[in-house]
Amino acid sequence: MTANIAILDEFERRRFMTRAAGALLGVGVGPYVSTAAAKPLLPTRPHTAESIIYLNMAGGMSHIDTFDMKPSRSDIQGPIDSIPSSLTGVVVSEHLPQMARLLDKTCLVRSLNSDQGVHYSAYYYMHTSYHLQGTLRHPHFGAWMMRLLGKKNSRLPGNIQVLGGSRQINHGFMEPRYGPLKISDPDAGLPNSKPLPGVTGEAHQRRVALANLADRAFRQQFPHRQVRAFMDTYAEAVELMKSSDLEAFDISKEPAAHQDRYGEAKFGKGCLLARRLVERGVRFVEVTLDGWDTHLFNFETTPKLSRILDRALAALLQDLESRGMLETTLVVLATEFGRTPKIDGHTKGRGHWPQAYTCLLAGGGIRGGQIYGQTDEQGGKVTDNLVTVTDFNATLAYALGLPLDHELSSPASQPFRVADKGQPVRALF
Amino acid sequence: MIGLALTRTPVQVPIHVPRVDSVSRRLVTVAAGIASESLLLLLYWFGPVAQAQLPAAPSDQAAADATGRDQAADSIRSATIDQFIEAAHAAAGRQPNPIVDDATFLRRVYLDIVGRIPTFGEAQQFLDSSATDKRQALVDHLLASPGYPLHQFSYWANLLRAKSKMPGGPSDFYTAWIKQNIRENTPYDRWVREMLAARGYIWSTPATGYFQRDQGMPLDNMANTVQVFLGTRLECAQCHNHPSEAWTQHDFYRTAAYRNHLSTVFYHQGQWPAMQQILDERGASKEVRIWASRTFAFLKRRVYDAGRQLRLPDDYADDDAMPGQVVEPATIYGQAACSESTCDRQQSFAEWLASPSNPYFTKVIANRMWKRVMGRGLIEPVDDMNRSTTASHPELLHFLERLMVDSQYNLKRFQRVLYNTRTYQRAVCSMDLTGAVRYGFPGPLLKQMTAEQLWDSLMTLMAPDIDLRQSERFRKLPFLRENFSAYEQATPAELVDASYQAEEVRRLHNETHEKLFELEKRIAAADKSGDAELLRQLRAKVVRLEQFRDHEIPVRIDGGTFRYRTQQEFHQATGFKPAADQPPADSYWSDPQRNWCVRAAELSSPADPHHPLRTFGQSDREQIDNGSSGPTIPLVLTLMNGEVFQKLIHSESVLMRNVHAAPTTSDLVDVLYLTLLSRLPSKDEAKLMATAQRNADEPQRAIEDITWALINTQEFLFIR
Repeated sequence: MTANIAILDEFERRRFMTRAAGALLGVGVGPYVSTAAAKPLLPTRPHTAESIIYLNMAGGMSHIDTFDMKPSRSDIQGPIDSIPSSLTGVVVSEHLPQMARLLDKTCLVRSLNSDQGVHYSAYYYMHTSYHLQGTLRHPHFGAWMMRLLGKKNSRLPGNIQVLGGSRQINHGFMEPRYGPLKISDPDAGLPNSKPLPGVTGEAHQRRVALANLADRAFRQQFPHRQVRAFMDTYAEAVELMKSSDLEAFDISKEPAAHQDRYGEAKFGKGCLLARRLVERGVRFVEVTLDGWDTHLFNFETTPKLSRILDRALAALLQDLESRGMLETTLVVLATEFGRTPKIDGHTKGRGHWPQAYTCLLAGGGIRGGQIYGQTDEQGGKVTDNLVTVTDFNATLAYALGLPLDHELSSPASQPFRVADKGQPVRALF
Repeated sequence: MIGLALTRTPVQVPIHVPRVDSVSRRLVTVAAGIASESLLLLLYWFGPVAQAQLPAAPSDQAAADATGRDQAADSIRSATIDQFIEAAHAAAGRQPNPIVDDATFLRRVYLDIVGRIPTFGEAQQFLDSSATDKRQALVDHLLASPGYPLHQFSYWANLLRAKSKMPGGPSDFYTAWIKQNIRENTPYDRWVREMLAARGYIWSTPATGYFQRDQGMPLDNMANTVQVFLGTRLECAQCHNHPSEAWTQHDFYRTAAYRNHLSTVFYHQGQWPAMQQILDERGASKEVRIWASRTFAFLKRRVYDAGRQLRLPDDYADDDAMPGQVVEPATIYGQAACSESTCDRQQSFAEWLASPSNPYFTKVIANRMWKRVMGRGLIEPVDDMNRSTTASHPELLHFLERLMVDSQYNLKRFQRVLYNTRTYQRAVCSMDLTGAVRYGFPGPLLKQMTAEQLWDSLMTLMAPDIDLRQSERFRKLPFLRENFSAYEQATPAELVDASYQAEEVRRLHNETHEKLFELEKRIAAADKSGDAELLRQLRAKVVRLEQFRDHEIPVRIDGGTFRYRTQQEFHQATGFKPAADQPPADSYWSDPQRNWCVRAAELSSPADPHHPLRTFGQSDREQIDNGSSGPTIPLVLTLMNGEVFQKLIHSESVLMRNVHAAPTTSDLVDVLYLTLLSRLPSKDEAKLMATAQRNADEPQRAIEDITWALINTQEFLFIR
């Protein structure tokens, strides 16, 4: 290669350098796993939702600056204005104009109440329905769905997280294959899903076979769960490489105008990806929008995030509706806690506030156009129809027809349920 | 070339026995017969080891580490640990696992101590050696090698959630400082105290990075402090009394009161009003004002005593105090610290926490280091201890705590004792552990490589001397320090001048970029029309513009807008230059285009979101120790189809160079196995690979097929 560079003239050498510097960066396998659609383990009750799109507002979305405005208290509200919505008498933040118009399609739950005020524990509680313990990892809601319902489309993973971090909330004590597949960039889709250049499908299969043979002695000597889990994942990945549904991961296949509606931000693109995946039968897609932890600069950051959210969520709801997917898709907007009514004069921020916060539900059989629960004048205390975290998750499970009282045991023989002892809020349906 | 003296049959390896003098050997054997842990402890304290004088805190750790007397003392300690474990097995009528062979030991100890697989040369050297103490010598060699801090860094970065981009400013100062402490083997208690007691700017006091990490969240910082160093989870107590434990919410606040007065954002105006005045006088544009604000922002970020009082929250429910009441600091156990109003709370807390007289401080680090070596703590989980927590081997843990204190928190020394035990050298446990079982340590546990170990092992296969490759981000640090120190001394006028310069640089870059863009278009047109003369002129213009951009426009050093050098000078100053006594740089691998080929500890912490490290499960450093292990589809897809593999089979990779130097086709299979799996293939495996070679279209393809296959085995990914 060096010899060739010497021949190129100065101009071409520079071209070459810049381009080069810009870079880095199936057949049946063993009998260890079947990737056919797992049959649902239990009979399900009549329900409409088959999939969930879970929009995770990470950091603690300030309810007072978004969906639970307190315009009568300027000391609490701060500089963000309220605008009317399509629900009479209901106002939302001025930075959520599209959602204001679409509010009658959704159900706002303003009475969430949690006992966890620290990020990780609160996040854990919201996603697993159990409190963080030192000795055990509980499964994520998505893992429960996979375990209880199985895949809808056997050729795609059923549990996908877009833009989430590497937090260890995944399959918990269940098998790793129920855990989420993480997509770190919606624009990049599912990277490395095709064999290397110059490697045909057949050549790839031969390599896979050679690897399995080479590994036989090791696998016999070490029949550990961890090792088997890897074998399962390899098998699933090899199958996925051959799946025609892989293009679900490619949002560039959407018409440009349509992509535009979701906005420029990664979160919006993640929502578009979620729609594509659910359209192809993926059960659970979680898309994260991070940055809501506004101890500092709440009134700069919250509006910015609100606008990103507004555009993406409105586009998603309208998209699902126009495709007739709204009944079968439960859309959840959730956060781990709210923020303090009192504004910190020093930092112009709000701290954590788990005592009262807001989540939003749409589609999946939810009766739109209602506000469930309310908080007091300051937005600090729930005054009506309190909804605990487990109740909230039970509501999601109920929408999907998951059995709420079915118990699964951890290796230490402790029984757990999809939403612990939570009771679904039937009024929302 | 490769040593063909290596045989395929497993060689009977002399089992490593720690050097023990005859007296203590007899004593220890007697004790084992009695199988009493307490007796063993007595022997330790009254036997030969106790009589050997332990060195006073040495100024030169390295010299102290090497003394023969230390080695003898440490050998006895390793043997004592073994007796604890083996006595328990004997009492239960069980046999511990056999000692592993050289090849297994080799790969395991490299991954455990320096975080990567051994190179082909390193593997050969160890396996060929017939020295009776070669395992002990290898442990010493690895502990002293440059790979050690690179591996340990990831461990501590995970615990401390150390990031390269923290609100406090250029946090590479902090991550570099952590690495330096590991490299110099700073006593653990000393650098914990430093982190807790630090104040000032991060470029002059990098230890302030610890508090900067939790900017605006002093209560969270305290909860994290207690979790990492005292092994107790207090964060629930921020909001309410712990449901089943003795810590109350008030206890938490009393602890937090030791550090709550600290702040990370210096709100005092400093030079800013004067800067604003000058900006107004000069009629500065919006862009210049933004630069000025960015420049000044760095001077706001420092850890200092803001004199803030901590008050109980408004919804405080217990009877023992009122909501909103000011909280006075008080320790939750042990001796009181800071009883007078004139004392330095921050300093007192640091001394209370990082002290041999704090019962949890030593217990936690001893347990963490044991887990690091053996795969499971004597107390699990390692950071959720309370008053009812018991260890699986209480006497052994007590012994380890005394060892830690006696070694003056010398982590290398502590680890050496553990790595030299028979227990460490046994075969891994062949079953899965379930739940909270008491593990008797018949051997270490089977582990999957961490994200960093996997990446680092792949990089070992690419470039020679991987442990010596340093990334630009750390080479830049002395320049950045100069830059930021200059800020501290600068007058408002100088800071405003710097802002103007920054804007000028930006403008010049933009202009140049636009001109180049235009020229590209015209070149494409000229190319199409076939006008060779015009093409030549245009290309010449491009070259001149690029030279202008690289050599004449001043460069904006990351994060600093004050002092300038040109791009060219900057790269020369910070470029990689091997030291005089090192071998000459490999021309392929020392090219800046290969800067991606460094170990994880040299990249940003955490790596960029799309970097393979993140796909491999590297922690995002947002929560304590939240790297994910376990198989995921993206990880598997990356190993199978990712760009990393293409780089691996490039002719210049160390792997390929070694393979192409192999004399015969069966030798090259040996080379592949030795390099990738640190062992020779069995007869069956050799036959299998020979068949694969015959079936391949051509030899290079065969090599790639076999390499691919071995990388994608579980044997490669797991540490046995």
